[in-house]
Amino acid sequence: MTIQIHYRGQLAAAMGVDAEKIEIDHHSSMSAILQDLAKKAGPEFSNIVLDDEGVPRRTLLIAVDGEQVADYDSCLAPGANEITLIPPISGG
Amino acid sequence: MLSDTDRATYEWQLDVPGLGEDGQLKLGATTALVSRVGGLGGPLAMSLVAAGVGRIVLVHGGELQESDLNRQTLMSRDWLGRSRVECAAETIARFKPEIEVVAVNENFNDGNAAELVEMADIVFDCAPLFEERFLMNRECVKSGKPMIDSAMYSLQGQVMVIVPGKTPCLSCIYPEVPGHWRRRFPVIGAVSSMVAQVGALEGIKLICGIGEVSLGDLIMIDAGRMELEKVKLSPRDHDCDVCGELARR
Repeated sequence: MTIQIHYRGQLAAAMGVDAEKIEIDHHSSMSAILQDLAKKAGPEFSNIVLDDEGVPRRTLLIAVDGEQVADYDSCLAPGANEITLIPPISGG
Repeated sequence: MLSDTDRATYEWQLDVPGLGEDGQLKLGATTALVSRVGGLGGPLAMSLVAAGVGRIVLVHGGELQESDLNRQTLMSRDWLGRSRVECAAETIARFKPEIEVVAVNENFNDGNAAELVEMADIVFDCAPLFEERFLMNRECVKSGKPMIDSAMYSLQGQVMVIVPGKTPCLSCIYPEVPGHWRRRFPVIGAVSSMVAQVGALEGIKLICGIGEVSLGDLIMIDAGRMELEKVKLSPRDHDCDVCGELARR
């Protein structure tokens, strides 16, 4: 399935775009999607979204269709349209 | 009851539906704390003062530097080297001499956090370091005081209204200090000011009881695309180190 993905904050610079459409297997978990994206984008992106074990960081906020998701091991809901990856920011 | 001066000052604001004299009196009875008063906290503090908060506590350590001047609009070039918070207090006092301004020339730390939050009815968190944000969050949760958390990065910003016992707290969504955050961040003053106004407005709405405060949402501002959207946050985390006990009640 095709899904729109938005990269917020530092992730946009690390990925080189702030949004793109990607193809994912509809059985993919959020963890697997993040691991694939990290492979594509490189270490800067990977360091923000994954810990040293390749597990999604607890500080990364993820929204699917405008709602935060907390379970990264389940598959995306059928019909999901967009994922937003929101790293913590603290500029003041 | 509003004084004649207040009635004249806020004449146009009193016309905002739902605000009226009651809302204006609530603002006048409020002590707001703003930490810090740089590119985001400075314009935020000024908007609170203009709207009519009765007392403002400004918290910011350190001296004004040249590289602050692209965004810290309460400052002035001829004040380089002076205490930032004293400069901010001076600008605010010139704008509105009748307001009580408390200037604290320190940043939030373990030693002063409880005492500072105790001084306020509502806290506006605009700090550039997560360590300070988490201290404010912890003390606000402990004392049951609302906190408006505003932050920016480059062309983006976000605002979260935290009402202890009702909404997730900062530690619910960020359970630990993010290791990748760096003290220096890309910033155009117009973006930090824009995020500041969203944070100030959420606080004013909360104080006055007008509009619909974004409880349980993360407000995201994208100045690059000029879009504002909300993410519905998960319910409070019952295992949160800071507010978990409240969530279990």
